[in-house]
Amino acid sequence: MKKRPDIILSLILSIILLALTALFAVLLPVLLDWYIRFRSIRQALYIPMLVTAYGCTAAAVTALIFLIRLLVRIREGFLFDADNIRSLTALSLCFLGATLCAACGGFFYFPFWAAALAGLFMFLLLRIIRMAFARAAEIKSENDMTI
Amino acid sequence: MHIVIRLDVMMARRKMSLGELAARVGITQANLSILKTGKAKAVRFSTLEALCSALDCQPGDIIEYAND
Repeated sequence: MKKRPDIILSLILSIILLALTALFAVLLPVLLDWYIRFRSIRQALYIPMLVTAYGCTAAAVTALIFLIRLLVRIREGFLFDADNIRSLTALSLCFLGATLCAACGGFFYFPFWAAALAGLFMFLLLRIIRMAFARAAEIKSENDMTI
Repeated sequence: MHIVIRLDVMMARRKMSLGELAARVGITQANLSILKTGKAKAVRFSTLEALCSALDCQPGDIIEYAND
């Protein structure tokens, strides 16, 4: 398979995003404290918001690791195979996890509902892509076994 | 009910090796082995035609329908 620059670019961007997410996780208590004071939100919401944000960040880090793994496999020339389908399944489940976490956080701070909605949309989108990949892998297997 | 590949029988009758048949048909030994062991999911008409030509036989001599 020809090494396409767009895959390398996506891989680099994903690694940068993973590093930024890790940095965000480290700075989260400080950033949240600043946000609460800036938006004049009740201080009592600090802990629920922190827990929600950490839950979503954990899901994002896991999703990014699976995304990098998927991109590495695609770069190596493996597209429609079982390992990539597993990565897509894990990716979609990460979004489901983030959706549930944000939805719970929405009971304390309603803007989290917007994040939950976005996460749900991504979960559904990834499920469709996963189904398409699974069908493509099936067709490829049949094609490979046609002599 | 399944399709049985009798390629090994025809090859034995014609005293032809896997490598020789693969070279005559124009496919790799690996692919011919997949076909011979019954792991193939489909056979192209062009491959079947080349096999029949190389083995001087009919498609029915290579492929058989077995009713279990």
